Amino acid sequence: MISLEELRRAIADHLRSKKYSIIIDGKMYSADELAREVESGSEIGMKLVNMAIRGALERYAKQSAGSQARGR
Amino acid sequence: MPSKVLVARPEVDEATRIMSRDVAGEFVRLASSMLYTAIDLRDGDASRAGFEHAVKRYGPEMVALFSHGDADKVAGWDNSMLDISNAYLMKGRILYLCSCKSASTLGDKLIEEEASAVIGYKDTLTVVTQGGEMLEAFRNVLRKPSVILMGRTAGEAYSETLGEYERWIEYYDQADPLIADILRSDRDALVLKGDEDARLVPATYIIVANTTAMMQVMIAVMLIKVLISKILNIAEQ
Repeated sequence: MISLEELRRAIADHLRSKKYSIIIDGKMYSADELAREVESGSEIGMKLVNMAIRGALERYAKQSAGSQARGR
Repeated sequence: MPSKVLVARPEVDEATRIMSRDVAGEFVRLASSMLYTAIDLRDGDASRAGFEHAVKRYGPEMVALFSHGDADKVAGWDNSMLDISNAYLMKGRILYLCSCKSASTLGDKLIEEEASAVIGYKDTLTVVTQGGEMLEAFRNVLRKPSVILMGRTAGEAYSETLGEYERWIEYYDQADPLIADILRSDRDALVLKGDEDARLVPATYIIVANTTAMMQVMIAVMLIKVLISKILNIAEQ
């Protein structure tokens, strides 16, 4: 189990390591700026965290559907 | 007459400059290569006045806007280029709104004002760049509705864009899940409103159709000439 704090730190580290700049809500953030938003839990930062949570759930559902199909 | 396509891309900041170069520019190039009349509004021309003037003057069948947006508007060079109050100008046209949220309230209003179809984003549109360039995945999905220029219906363009999202999500689920998650968010925000059968008639089709008609006329003229000469020959005998 990963805590929200750990997830935020993981996303922030990932953004910095990949040097992504992201256009979100009409504004362009450098990797470091967005990483700080994620770490501070601001509205923009939490938007990205929510995307990661929703994405992880969909990925998990897809994987589990795939493994169930293989099991049959 | 070839169909007309209006593209507006006000470059007001780094985000819109990247959108203009990596997505809108390609839209204009494709429209021109497909022999549409492409009306390309940039910077000051992509103001509200410039946009309204171009729509009234050229009467484009398709309008593609690449800019910042909100639920009830798409921003232009100076203020909102398209919003609730001038949505009536879009009657009968196919729209691609490549901007945040504008396909929600504004999208509904456009359909109420009898726009043929609207493809756009009902929620935040998030785009990832690296080294000053949009990642290929985002370039490809945002350009995908341009298949309308190739004669696809709005419904087909929407489905193909969703398909493009799925392909890149599958790739990034392995390569970089954070990018896959951002693509999922954009995919979920993409909507089609209005007539899913709406389509443009590509200029190349019109030229082929006209060429066929011209050839038919030429063959008919030749046959008439042959017939007249035969009649004349018979008369001489």
